[in-house]
Amino acid sequence: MPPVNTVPKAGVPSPCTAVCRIDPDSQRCAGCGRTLDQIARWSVMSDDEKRAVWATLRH
Amino acid sequence: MAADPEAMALPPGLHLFERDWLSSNGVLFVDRDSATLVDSGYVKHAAMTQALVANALGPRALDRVINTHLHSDHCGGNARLNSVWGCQIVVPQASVAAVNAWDPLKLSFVATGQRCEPFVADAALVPGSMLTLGGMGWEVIAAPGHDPDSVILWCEEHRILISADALWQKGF
Repeated sequence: MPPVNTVPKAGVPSPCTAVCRIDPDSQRCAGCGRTLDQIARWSVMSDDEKRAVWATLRH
Repeated sequence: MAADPEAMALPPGLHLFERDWLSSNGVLFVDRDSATLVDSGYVKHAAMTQALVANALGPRALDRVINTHLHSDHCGGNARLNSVWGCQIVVPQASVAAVNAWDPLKLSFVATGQRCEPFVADAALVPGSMLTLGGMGWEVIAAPGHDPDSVILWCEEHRILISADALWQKGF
């Protein structure tokens, strides 16, 4: 069974723009657009998952 | 999720928060007895730090914040987290006096032109002592260099080092 809590090698950059504030209406970060869960799990996402997050963001 | 053969499995009870500049990364440990955050990010991101911790803890409270060293990117969330949860704040032994006097000459914030909301240290990290975090044993090791008072945390059982800012890929 694949590990569920792993730290992949560095690859896909973080979308963070240093605003780091959850907008109460959208429940997404006002800077990068990620949800809190996406931010919390970023360190354990695979590169494919990170690219999938990027695809959902307005940029 | 495809398994990366070089990826390291993190033990349950250890949650890594990968943050971005100006905040340091943080590690949240949760076990049956206690929830502890190691390093609390920069003051400007304190709301995000609180949200990440609350999201991970659910109904539980944060019991303790530990700082590996007192650069502004590592302890900027302390005041906010303490105001929300009344958590204990634990800093390196060598930094306790400077924190509790909030001495601007001994703390780094004025010299670096960075901000930090004041807080009080309730207890000290003593080099050579052991902590229980996430149900695991962690040794507190003095690591002067990047910061003269810094400590790092070593878990022998899982071979994990929380290296604070002691190790850099390309030097300082």
